[in-house]
Amino acid sequence: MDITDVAIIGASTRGRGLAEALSLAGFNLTIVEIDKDTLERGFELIEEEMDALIAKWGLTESEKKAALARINGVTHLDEINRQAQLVFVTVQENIDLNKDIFSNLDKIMNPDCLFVSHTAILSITEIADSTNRPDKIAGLVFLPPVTQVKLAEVVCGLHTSKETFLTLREFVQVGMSKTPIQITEFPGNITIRMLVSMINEALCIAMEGTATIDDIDTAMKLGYKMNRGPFELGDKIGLDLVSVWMDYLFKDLGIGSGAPHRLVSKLVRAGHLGLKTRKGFYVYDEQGKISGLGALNQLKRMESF
Amino acid sequence: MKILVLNSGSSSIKFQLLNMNGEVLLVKGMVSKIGTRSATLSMDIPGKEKVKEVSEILDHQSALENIVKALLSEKLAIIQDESEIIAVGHRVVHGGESYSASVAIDDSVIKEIRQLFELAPLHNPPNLKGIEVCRRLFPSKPQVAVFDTAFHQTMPAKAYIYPLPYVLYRRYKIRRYGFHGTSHAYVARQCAKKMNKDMKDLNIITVHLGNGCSITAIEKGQVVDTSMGLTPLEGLVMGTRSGDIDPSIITFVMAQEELGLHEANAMLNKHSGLLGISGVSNDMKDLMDASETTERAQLAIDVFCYRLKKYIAAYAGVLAGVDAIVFTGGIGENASKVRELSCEGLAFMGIEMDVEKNARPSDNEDLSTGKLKTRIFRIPTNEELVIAQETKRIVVGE
Repeated sequence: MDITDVAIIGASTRGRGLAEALSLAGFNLTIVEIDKDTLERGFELIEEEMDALIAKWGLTESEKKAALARINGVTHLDEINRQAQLVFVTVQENIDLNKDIFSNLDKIMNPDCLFVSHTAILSITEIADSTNRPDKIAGLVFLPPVTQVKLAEVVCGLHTSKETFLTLREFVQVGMSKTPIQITEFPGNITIRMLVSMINEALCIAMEGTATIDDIDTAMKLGYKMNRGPFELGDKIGLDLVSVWMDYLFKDLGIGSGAPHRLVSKLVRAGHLGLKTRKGFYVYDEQGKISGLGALNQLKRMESF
Repeated sequence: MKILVLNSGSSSIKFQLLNMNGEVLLVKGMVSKIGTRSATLSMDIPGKEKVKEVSEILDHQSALENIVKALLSEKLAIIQDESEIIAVGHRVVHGGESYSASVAIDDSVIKEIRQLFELAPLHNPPNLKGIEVCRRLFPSKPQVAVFDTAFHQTMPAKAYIYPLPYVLYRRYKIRRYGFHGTSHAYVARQCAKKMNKDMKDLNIITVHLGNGCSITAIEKGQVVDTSMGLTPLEGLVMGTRSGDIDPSIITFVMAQEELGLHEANAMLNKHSGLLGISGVSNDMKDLMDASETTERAQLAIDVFCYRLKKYIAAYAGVLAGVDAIVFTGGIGENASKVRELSCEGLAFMGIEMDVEKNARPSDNEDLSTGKLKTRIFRIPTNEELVIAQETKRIVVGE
């Protein structure tokens, strides 16, 4: 099946990132977002994000114009483009909400249309069971910024057919120029599970007094050629989200993979959510550059003794 | 004897149908925005009104089917039967080191074109797509590939080897290939005709200034050097491409601005050149219009002409004297100021433009003062005609 038209449910961070990448890759898009303000803000942010690409020479004005012209925003599911061959659901990672949306889509979309959930933690199989096309349901997860990161996690549930998997793999590879990897459904897939474990372990190292937060980041950046260390990554993603993932994975994966470190929820309660509040493991200046250590600065550097 | 000429791009197919008895253009046109519901088929039939249709065309196959249908339509009366088209000529950008001339397409040629994807990732894949679709649609018609790189294959190693570790040439075939070969070959031949001489008795510099710009030194009919290199980014300043720069600038800017490979590539290919300097436009005509009021528009023109002059003088040295310089391409044919500035001050080496004649050029006239060695011509290029001629030569022999 040739995919030319795609619909995205949700215009928050993940929906927006996807819309930007897919429109630049030449797909015709409909974004369905029930909240009008979120939809409008979504369009503004997509444009800002494209301007940022232009400022770094990754895009031209005419490419931006053509891409924006391919995106259509609507506020009701009934207005979705029924010709779409693929629908992305990017709403909050809440199982009941997702099941509800998938079952509604099942009623209105063409029977050949594939539905994918952009979820890191929900069960594709459980979502698929809410539809009459469980073989056409899969997960497809990209990492932000979607335009830059070349990875796509193609997640198969227990009902996902080989044909669905092959179509999605082709879509990702040829349509989006990304490298697909195959995952059999499990909470956290690869990237989130590894990331959460790493941040959790890094916190343990810091709290034991083995090393400071910035030294741990420096070690991982220089040692493993990472652009950001675990703490900086956590701040960038948002500690509220990290905390949700930690709890969910702990609950679903069991005690074996480590109890969530209580410091993350402590910071979240204090409103120190990372880069977006300019306070997290680090504090940030207006340009988003690290200007010092955050509230956990009670973990003093050795040299200050 | 009718020949169809195709130039297949990623989302467009340009085509011309020529009657080779007398080399008459029957129709030229293009399908654009392939892959969308608003694809456009436009056609220009000499002496008739222009045709434009918008419809859903999702791939190259249906684009070509639409073209054939239009050619056969009773209303347009271009041809009555598909069998009137005796062969199809394809523009293929990169022929690598394998092809120094046009070639009849068979499975091995297709395999070779595919192997060159790495060297021309933007051009060879859609070129091949056009060929494959044609082989499906017209399995019995001969198809010919005409390569942009072929004419330049006579260059000696000293001109095509880069001063880099030689292992890179061995491993990746990193060397100068040159592009626009079909255009350079055509205008050089036309130039010899105008001078009533054989190409073998002439040293010619051909200057192709269009969207992309390149310059070629042709000694006794053979290319000895050309300004584009491994890719069409090297050499002259272009609309949005930088041409020659200090290679260290790339790594410096990538580090300072935290650019990835894609951004660095796009910066050099899409945000540089005339557009990059001027900040106004990549179009020479826009810059000429803006030059009196916008300093950087004038600066862009100055850099463009200055660098072109350096190449002309260098190639005059390579050829040990030039019999003729030919300007072609959109800018080369229309921007008299560019022709004038790029030859200015070269009288000491036999190149002197007659500013009056150059301002009002006719296609046949020598634009030089006629007092010194070098003739200067403006000759409109016609790559499609060359592709059709080559196709005819290969299909029916000379």
